[in-house]
Amino acid sequence: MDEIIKIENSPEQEVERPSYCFFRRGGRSYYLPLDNLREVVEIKEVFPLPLAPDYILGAIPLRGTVVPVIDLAKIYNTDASVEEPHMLIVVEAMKEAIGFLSEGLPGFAGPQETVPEENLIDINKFFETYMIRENI
Amino acid sequence: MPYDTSGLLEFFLQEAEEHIHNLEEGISNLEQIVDASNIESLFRSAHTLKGAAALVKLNAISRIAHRMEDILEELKEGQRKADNTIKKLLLHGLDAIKEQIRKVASGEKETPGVDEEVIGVIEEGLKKQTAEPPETSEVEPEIKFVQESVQQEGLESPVTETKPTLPAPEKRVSIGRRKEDIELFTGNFVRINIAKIENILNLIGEITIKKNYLLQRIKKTIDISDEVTGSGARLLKEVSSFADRYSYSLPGSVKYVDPLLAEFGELEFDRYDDLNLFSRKLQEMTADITEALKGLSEFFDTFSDDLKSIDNLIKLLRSEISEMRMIEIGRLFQRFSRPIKEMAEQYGKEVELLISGGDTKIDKVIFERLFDPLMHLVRNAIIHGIEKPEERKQKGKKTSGVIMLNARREGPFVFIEVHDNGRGITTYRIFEEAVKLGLMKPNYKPSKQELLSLIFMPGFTTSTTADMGSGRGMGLDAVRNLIAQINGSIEVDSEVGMGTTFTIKVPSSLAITNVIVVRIENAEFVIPMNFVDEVTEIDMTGAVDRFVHRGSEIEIKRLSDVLGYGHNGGVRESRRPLIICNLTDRRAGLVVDEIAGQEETIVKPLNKFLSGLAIYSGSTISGDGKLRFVLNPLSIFKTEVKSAESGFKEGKKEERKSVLVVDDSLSVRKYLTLFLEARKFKVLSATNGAEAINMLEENDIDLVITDLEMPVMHGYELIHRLKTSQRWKDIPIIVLTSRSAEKHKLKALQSGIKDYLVKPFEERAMLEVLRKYLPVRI
Repeated sequence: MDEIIKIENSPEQEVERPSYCFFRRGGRSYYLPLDNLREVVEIKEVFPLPLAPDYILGAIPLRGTVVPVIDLAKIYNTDASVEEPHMLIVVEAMKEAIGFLSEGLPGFAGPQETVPEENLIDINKFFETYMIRENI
Repeated sequence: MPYDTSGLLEFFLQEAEEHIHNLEEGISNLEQIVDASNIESLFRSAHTLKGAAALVKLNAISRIAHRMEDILEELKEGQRKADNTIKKLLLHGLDAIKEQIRKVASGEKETPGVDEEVIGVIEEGLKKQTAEPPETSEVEPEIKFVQESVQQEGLESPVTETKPTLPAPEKRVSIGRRKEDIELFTGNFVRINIAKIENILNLIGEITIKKNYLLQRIKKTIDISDEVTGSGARLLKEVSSFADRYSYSLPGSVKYVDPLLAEFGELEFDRYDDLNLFSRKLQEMTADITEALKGLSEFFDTFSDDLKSIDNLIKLLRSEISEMRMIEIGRLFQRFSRPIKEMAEQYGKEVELLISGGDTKIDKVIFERLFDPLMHLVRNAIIHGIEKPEERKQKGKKTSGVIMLNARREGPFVFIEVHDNGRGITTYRIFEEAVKLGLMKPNYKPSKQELLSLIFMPGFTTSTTADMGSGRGMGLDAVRNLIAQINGSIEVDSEVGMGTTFTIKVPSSLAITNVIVVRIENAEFVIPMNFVDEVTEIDMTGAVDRFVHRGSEIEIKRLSDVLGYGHNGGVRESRRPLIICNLTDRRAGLVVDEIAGQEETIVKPLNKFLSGLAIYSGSTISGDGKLRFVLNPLSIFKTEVKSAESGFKEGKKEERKSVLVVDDSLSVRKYLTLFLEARKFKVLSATNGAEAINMLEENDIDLVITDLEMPVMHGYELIHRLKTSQRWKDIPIIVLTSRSAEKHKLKALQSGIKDYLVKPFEERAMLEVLRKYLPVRI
């Protein structure tokens, strides 16, 4: 803890902290504020969730909780067949965990980097928009 | 009957602890409180403390709390300023309450006159406060001290912790907060956020999964070890037979003779060649390997035993921690005493509340979610169940009615009964309404239970049942649904003149639920056991959608259809397991491909992102780490054609089509309704043309099937009205009549109908017509 504070406080050693993480799915990059990122897990088995919308591939158990597996390629209608996604970017929104399929480990971008607006995901807004509503 | 309050004292002590803690914290920081809602919370605590104490006849505590409540109300309303004097007086009251509670907890009685004494001190202090402006009010040293300590230690540090370090404690004995009081409330209890317990349970769940995985791996390793032992034994056998042949040299075969042994003949001294030596070495090595394998096998034996004991410890840990979330249900029952009193007064009734089984423990989550449904039932009992005193007198009953809340535990379930000894439910009214709605034939002889269960149907009302669920925000179907959300079920029994009993069955813990595991293809789902009446078998050859269960015909559905799995390549196997589900108002059958077992498992609520999927009520994780969703039978059988409505999976966006059946014959209406509902149509029915027009006014109808001869408004007129209406002219109309004459048919066809079917109709012909005019999959 002390060390981190020292680095942050000494101007000559200033290390830029990343603000965003990005990952690829279906030929497109998606950016997320780093604060939302909970963890990245390797997908072993996705359990099907019949009657869910097609962008929800299923769910995985993660330390006693259930994480819905979301395929952004289905939402943004991009070609999902290019590469097999094998990682899950688990984020937290509205006190729940949701996961995005990714074709690899995420990368990180600093606050100086320009993040394309259309590729940036507002997690809470996403949650509100795509959560399954009553009576489905 | 006497009112047993002995059990209540314990609940009071538990509850009081919570409120005293709240008051203590709040009053200590009174000056920092600027938000009226915080004072509101203190006011509530004092208010609840007052009521609860009065209930267990702790009148001194109740009176002191009452006075504190008044002061807090004045603070809330801005009529009084929160200064040190007020703080001191409130703490004085609180300390007195704590002292009295300590006495009561140790079996003593309240100190006589303590309330007057304490209230006297408070009144005196209040007079002083009013006389002196708050700025100049004299501050007692001990209070000042508390304030200092708050400033020094920061707001979050509890006053209790600062106590031992305070100098001159003897000064504080007179009015201040005594050490023994603090110990009373902090000695044996810690307050834990329920989320922490939840987290621990999650971790235990993870450990269980890992342990099961380890057990599986051990099994594999044991298999490998067995195989190696087997191969080792074969090797040993080979080596021994080899050794038998080559351990000793054969006469004449030894090429080299040691000069030192030259004096011995071949039979006088054994001589070894390389092969002999190799053979001996092999023998030794194999013996070593066998020994090592034996050791390994012994190790695995004890290792498995160790794992099993860890397994038991984990189970014990899980149940101990689950127990931490358990609360005695009496605390919930206690909450009804005041509303019952007030409501009884409001409706001019005399009601006595009896509680039994209050020490039955129940999960906190269930505890909280039981309040609303129980409140609804209690309210019904007072308003509609219990008669007015004069009516009761006339009936020869005691003027005061009784509401009894009773709880008992049976295995993993808790049964809660809400009983009243009022007028009961008149079943013939239910029957009349059921006939009117076309749910039962007039000549049908339903059982009492069959009729009573109808009151849980959504929208089912008779004057009796309307009363039972009226004007109180929710009907009995809502009560049933609330209970279903905690994996519970409800049943009703009633005797006219004797009273009504609602029996709620809920799992005692939401953490551990008894479930039946079903498998479709490779996926597993679970159904909570409390929905399952029994499991039987059904012959699924052909399109079966009804099943006769204990004399009544019940609806059945295939789980694979409901979940959109299809039929395993179109093959409908003959015998399949059928799960008879208890939906409270009726039974229904769920056909599954395979039953994988029954077990106790931890059910978690569904992730909020998925919570709109009403067909699932939660999720569980199996011992080997498989995620399984919990099916909600109420949703499967209530909200029909879920799969078609959601339609996301295969891009199906079909809406349920509505068909209006117009016929004066009940049996035709009923038959068509069943026939069409089984094919996923929404069906409305009317007994004549006029009624049909009303239905059309209020509903969007996709197709009309009508008879020609009907009272009030006949079929031809209905057709004419529809065809001349801008709104309805495009709705396809099918005539279904017993008139087969060309004359009738021609007239109908000329008026613009689509098709003309003659009774008794053939299902196939009807389906063909429907397919033609309603573009849906049937």
